[in-house]
Amino acid sequence: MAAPWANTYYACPCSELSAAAPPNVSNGGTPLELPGSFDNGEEGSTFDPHNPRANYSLYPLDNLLYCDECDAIRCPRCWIEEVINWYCPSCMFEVPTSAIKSDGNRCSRNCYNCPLCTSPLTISSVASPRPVEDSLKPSDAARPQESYLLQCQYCDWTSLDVGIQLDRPTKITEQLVRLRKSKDTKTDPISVSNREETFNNLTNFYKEELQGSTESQTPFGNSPYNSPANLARIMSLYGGVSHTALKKSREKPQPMREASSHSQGLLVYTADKSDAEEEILQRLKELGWNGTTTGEQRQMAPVNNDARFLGQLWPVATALRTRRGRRCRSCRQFLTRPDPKMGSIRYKIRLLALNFIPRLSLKPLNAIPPPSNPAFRLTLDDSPQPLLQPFTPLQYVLTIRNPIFEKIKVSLATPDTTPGKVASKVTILCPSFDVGPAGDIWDEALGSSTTTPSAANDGGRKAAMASLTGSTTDTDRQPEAGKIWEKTRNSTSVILEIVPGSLKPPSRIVTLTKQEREEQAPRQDDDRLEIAVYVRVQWETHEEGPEAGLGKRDAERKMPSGEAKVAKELAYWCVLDVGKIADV
Amino acid sequence: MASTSAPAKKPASSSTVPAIKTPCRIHSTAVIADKVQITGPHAVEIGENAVLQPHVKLRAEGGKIIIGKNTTVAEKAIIGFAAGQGEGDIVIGDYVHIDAGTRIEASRIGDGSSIEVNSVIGKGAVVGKDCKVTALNVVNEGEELPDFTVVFCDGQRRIDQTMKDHAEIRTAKRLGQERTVALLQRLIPNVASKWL
Repeated sequence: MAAPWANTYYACPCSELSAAAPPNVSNGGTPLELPGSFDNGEEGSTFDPHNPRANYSLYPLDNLLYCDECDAIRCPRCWIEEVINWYCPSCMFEVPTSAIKSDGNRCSRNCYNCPLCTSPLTISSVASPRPVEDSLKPSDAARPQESYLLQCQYCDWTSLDVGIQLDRPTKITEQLVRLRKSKDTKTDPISVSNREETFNNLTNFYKEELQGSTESQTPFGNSPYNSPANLARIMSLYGGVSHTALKKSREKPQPMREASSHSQGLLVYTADKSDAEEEILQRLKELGWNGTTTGEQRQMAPVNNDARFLGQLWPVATALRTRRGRRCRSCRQFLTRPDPKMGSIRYKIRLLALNFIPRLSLKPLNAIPPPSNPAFRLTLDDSPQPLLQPFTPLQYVLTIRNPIFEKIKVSLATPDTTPGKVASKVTILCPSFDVGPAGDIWDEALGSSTTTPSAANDGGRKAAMASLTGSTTDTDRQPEAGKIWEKTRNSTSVILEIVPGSLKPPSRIVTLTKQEREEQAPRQDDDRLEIAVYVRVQWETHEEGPEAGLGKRDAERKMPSGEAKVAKELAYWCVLDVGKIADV
Repeated sequence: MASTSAPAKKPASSSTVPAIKTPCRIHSTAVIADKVQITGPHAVEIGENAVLQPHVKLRAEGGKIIIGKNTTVAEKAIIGFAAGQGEGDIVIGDYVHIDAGTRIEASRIGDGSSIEVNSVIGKGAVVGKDCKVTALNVVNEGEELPDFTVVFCDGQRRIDQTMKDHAEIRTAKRLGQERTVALLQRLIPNVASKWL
């Protein structure tokens, strides 16, 4: 999950808006040379964070994945989800896909949910009444059988409410199917089994008839079954008839009959069901509104679709859940894939963008400590950010942290003035620099000379002392153009100078037309200063082996010296949210 | 006011009003845990095999409190109301299970009922026999729940037909309660003597 205070958003290059490289961007007065693929021919417009479409391509880094085959960032639009396996959330039993296709997406074991409140049902045994002690009874005589019921631990619904009492605590599904069938037969003479039988009769009858039917000589002019083509279509819907049979029927034209008796599958509708409806109305009067089922209860399972009253609700088999993997849309490799072992919440493959692409973070150079500890803040708005004053130069420290085990060369580019209505000036004092490789935390702690420490934050004893005593050696240090501000093992900080623009349009002597005034009227979020930075990262890696993680590190160590290296490059737009500009 | 579990910095003698000991009638087999608070001038009767777990508050300040046999009251349950907030006796039947954090101001709770975690039974409410108030639900003031009612899912009410129609299920439930009591009697040190 993205941190709520994340102020850096990364644009996925999948959208047209963010795919283009900057045309004429400057960084500290020197134009950035964009070699190779980013030449003038492919340049597009500068990324505008205020564009309404920008919302659809900007994501916090934590929400992005990275495809190491394509060497590209992947956002929810660039990956496809794939069901890896189906499982029952109750018994954690994995169900094969073939079983899903044949049996449906419900647990076919002993997992059932309460039809009233959806809690899982438990199987409890019913205490049978104690048998009268009979001294004449042999000691090995059969004991009275125990019966079982499904019980909801939350709302105390039990299967006895619908008259279900089970013989044994296993194979619940089988027992329930049997009970359901017998119940249907009792309540409705044209029960499910009867209907199946009738339908089979009907199918057989028409199959036979089809063999002897003909298109021209049929006496049933207006019937929907008058042509074999129609009939074939209907039969294929409900049971199917082979193409050869159809062909045969065409070859042998015979008059075709309609089903006319029960043995042929005909069921005649009789309107003498008024008693049943009367009974329903009577029950409705007795039970009232609270005795009827809700739409949710009816829709929870197909078995309850026709249930009118609470007393007709049948236990609902637990719906299965899925575990999904994500594949890259272009190369189809897995970006995330859960561990196939059920019950494990680990991932077998998980290519998170934060392990591959540098993370940018922005903070004011002379940050004022917050008045209260942010850990005790109740809401984000509790301590609002100070507003940025227009035309007041501000200096920010932009830190780039390298997650990969290679030294990277970073080039930053940003337009001189931010696009949109409020033109703020932005200058990156040092747009091109190197960031050291990531490594184990112990590397930094044990080796004090891994990087060239610039300031007190070199991770050494001196820095620790400085942070404890609060005395820093470089309080009067001034940012300089072309120089990095701070450097640690795998992060480098540079200074960003920002002059926020004014929200009000410049005053004019000439009166504006209505259209011009409408265009200049501030829109929502126009006062938010967002800086689009184009980040280009170059690094060298060995031709084979993974690119990040410890695997890479090991591979590098084992590799003989002089191995061919491959230059890699990654470029993306990043949006830094600085804050709101004051309306003065 | 007799509050044995009160901290040492507030001794009863420091108060100008002398503490009134609540008149208690506790059955010899009942278990009263340490840190149970029994306050108020009215009588408190605790029946056979009843178990009061730690931090239960019995406030007999508005009327008598009677707890039936084999009834269990779990931690932080409050039975009764503070002085001035209401009047009336509270009668809790046999085989009742009162769960943690509940607030009971009802005038009567029927035998075999269970009141689950953090639920509230309002003043003067009458809960019937073998009822169940599920967690976080509220029975309003003066409401009367018929026997075998289940209050669940944000205040829905229904009659538990199984419990109503099957005596053996009721018996099984009573048996379960007895076993719970037997377990709690073994686990909770009894300090009932200090209330006598």
